[in-house]
Amino acid sequence: MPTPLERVIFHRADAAKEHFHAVAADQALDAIDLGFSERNDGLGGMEQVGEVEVVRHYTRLSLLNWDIDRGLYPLGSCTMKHNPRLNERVAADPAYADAHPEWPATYLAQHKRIMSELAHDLATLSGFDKVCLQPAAGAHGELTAVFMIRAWHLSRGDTKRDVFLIPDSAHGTNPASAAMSGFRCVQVKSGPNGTLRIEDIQAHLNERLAAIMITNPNTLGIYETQFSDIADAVHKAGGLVYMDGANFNAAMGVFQPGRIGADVMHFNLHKTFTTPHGGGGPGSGPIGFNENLAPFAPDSGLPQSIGRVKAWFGQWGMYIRAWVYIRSLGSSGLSEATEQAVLNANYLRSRLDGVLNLPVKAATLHEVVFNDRDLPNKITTLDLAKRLIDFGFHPPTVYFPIHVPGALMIEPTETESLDELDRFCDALCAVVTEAAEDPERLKTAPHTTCVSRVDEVLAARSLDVRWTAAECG
Amino acid sequence: MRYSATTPNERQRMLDTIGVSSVADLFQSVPEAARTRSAASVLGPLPEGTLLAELEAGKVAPPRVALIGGGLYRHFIPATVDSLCARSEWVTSYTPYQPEVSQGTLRMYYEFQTYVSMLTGQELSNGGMYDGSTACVEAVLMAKRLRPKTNRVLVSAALNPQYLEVLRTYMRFQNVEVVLLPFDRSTGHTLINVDAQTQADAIAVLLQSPNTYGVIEDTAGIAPGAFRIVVVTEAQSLALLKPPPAEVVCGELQSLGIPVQLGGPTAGFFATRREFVRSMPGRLVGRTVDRHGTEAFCITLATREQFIRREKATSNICTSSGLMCLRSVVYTSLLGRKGLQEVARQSARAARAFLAALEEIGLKRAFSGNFFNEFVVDCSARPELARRLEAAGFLLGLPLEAHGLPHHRLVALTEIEYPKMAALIKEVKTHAHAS
Amino acid sequence: MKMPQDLKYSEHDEWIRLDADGIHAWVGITAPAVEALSDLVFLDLPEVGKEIQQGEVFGEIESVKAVADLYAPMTGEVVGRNDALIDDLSMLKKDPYGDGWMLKIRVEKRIEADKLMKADAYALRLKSNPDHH
Repeated sequence: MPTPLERVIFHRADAAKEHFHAVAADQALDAIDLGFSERNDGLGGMEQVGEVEVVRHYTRLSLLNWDIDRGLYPLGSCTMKHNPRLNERVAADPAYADAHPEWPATYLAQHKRIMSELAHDLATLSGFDKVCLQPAAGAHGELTAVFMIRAWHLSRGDTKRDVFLIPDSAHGTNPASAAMSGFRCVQVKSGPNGTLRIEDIQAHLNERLAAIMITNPNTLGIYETQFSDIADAVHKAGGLVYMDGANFNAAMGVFQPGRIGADVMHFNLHKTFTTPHGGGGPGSGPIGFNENLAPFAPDSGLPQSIGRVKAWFGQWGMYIRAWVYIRSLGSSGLSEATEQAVLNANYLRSRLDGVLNLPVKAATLHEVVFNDRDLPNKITTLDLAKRLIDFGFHPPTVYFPIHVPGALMIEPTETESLDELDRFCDALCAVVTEAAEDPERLKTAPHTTCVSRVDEVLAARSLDVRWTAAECG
Repeated sequence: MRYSATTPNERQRMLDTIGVSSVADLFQSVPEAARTRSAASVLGPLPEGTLLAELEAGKVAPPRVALIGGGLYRHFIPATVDSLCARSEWVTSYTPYQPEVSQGTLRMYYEFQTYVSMLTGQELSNGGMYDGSTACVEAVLMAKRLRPKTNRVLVSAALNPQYLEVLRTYMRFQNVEVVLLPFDRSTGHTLINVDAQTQADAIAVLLQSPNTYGVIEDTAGIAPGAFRIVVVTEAQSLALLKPPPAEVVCGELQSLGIPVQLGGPTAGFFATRREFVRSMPGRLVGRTVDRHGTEAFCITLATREQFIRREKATSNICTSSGLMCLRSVVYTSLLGRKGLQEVARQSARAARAFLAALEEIGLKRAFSGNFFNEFVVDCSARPELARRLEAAGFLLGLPLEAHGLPHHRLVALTEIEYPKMAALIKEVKTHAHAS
Repeated sequence: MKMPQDLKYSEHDEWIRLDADGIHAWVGITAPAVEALSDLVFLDLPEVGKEIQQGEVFGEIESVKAVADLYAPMTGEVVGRNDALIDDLSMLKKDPYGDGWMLKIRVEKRIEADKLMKADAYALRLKSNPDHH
């Protein structure tokens, strides 16, 4: 049955409707004068919607979304894996959901124990000496690490180091985080095998070098084979090594970034450790680091600390979910998760190699990047992605990493069944066949969704980012 | 492994398709020297029942009464909010990069932007920030982008101390000087004690209202030409108090349907004028049409964001706080203007009734400026009272020793306390008279 | 591809038309650059009175999913800005070398023109480097 295309809530709002009451009125209390005059602008036209209609509205809106509970969400680099229900149940427990960070410590003993255990577990898995949980999301963890790197250099009187080396395969957050801390970003080209080569950074190994940012495995899903050599060279030149931990789900039980040359790394609890993505957050971006950087951590309590990066403890609601996940699996389960993720990704790669062009042939771990080079009739990655929706699949990540033209980046994760993987491959094969036979079908796709291809140009040219009261009359 | 969906036989078939004999072969690209050698392991696997029982055993009973705010406020959360926001389609979806299969989330963000614009009285809002503390920082960073030649920000000393710490961290790495504006020790209002030129030459003048001592501020004392940022940490106050005129109004939405959960995750908000939209941080959703002219929504002005503009982006933010934004939107829809105002009035009246009771037993309010639902009380007339109450599981506000205000407590009440006022007051009086 | 012969071209795909008076010049971007950016949504240009430096960024042009910096082909003071173009970017597609002009500048160093390409050289460069866009 098709879902009606629910309009925004304001069409249902009406001042005459019943509104929600939290608690019963008390006449004696209501006689108290507040001593200030209340705003009289009608809150810009904000009116309530009846309870039944609110339920209908947000249920119908929700049905216009794709979600991992419905099926495969093969977004490379975003790592959409199953979000266990158990995590949600525990996080919603009032003992955890209603705790206030300013309560006296006795009331928070268990919360603090869970946070310290999570930090300890993340350190154990990653091989770093210490972990600070505070950053609010992966990009925020990156920024925190960049601040710490700056503080480390300054503490050594090394004020001239202003260059961050960033591979062309990096996430956009890497240069953005470096720039927000006043560093200059220098892009490094990946080699023909999709990995960084020491000779390509040689020219930058000087007194200006502050750090290098490396994603490992990188955004092509390839292990950076020269990682340790590059790290050594950077350290010799007086720089530090930041590892982007977005792909840590391919490392658990296999290698420990903290023991192969990285000085600091962020974790995405919402990628590797199954906390939900929630349509764009909240995330959680703890950072792991070695002793050299420990005094500079936001929570070190030492004078060298960069200071707090987020109010209170960070994203507690995400910590407890990740803690539950780690306890549910243990070391053996987490290693198996990595193995299964890599097996699933390589299975997809085998089935799709030849159907789509594989621009870099090197061995891949948890994800694989194809592109649109060989598609007939000027069919692009975007067309392919949109048509895949009609076959009942969310598209993979498109046009990223940016150094691969027309990239289609697929990451199935460990939680998909073989049946689901096969159905996805079959669908992609069918779309590629269609590209030759009926290209128009792809160029106008999707055809089965509540809206067809959206006019993003109009959205940007005539900006409409809020509803106004005039519309409902 | 609990969350794996393949059998050993299937795994063998997959290996055969790939053409390798074992899973280990797939990791050959990882050099031997880099392999994990540590024997340290994490606890588990624990079955669900065992894990839950262990958690249960470690629980500590919460305080019976906690009149504690300080930037996070416990308001009543309707069952409808919890239930709707637990739907898989909200919880387990990703950032809406593919608009055709994300119209639900996109519409929700558009509603969020509208509600925040209405509450703040600003022209537009972004799709949310991590939390209030980082929203406050992003406001200053935006002001700095608009005024690149300035390097000093004037900040009220009555800004939430957590926010101030976060702001100081970021500003240090921007080489920006944070200059504190003191507050009046009798009224609790921020004192704008610098001349008009200094204000105009600063990146911004930043105030919180109600401020960290609960006192309602205004921006009338700020010189024309200054870039005004107003921070709001108790969003319920917006139902009754329109934020004072400012270039940016930002802060924390936790009060609108989001549990306190130890301070995170919550949702930050950021509202400003249309003219600044291209300098604004964070995600933005716009309304447009599809190929057939049907109303549709998509992420817009993405060229400001890190995944396109990289080192020149307005912010490095990628993931924000979508699910928490949803909670605030569902909450706001249920209550609307009238419901929010009812909650706000009940909170404000509970606070006033409680303050009156404290005054009856000889305590004094520290600042004379008007307040919303949170106030500072000087307990020196009854120095033992707070400790006695605490021993009985009753937290009489947040101690302010660290603010240089010994024996002072920051007391917050909401509509949760409103139906219990008689009992709370009786309990306080009983303890007071016993001392 | 046919390029107007009376213009000079930069490696960043800007063109400049030197006025017969020897003092003023018009600046814009080339048709292939407009084509590569596809759906344009925003143009940011400096105000009249600002100085622009040869080889330095003077503005930005955006499509839905890309941003391109605009580089000054020559040094000079901005004496005119095409505000009609900012309001209606379709002019860039219709007439990139005419009504799609961006800035009028007062040229400071005429000699800088020697560093720019003539139409044939620019066309050849595009041909030899098709992935450039």
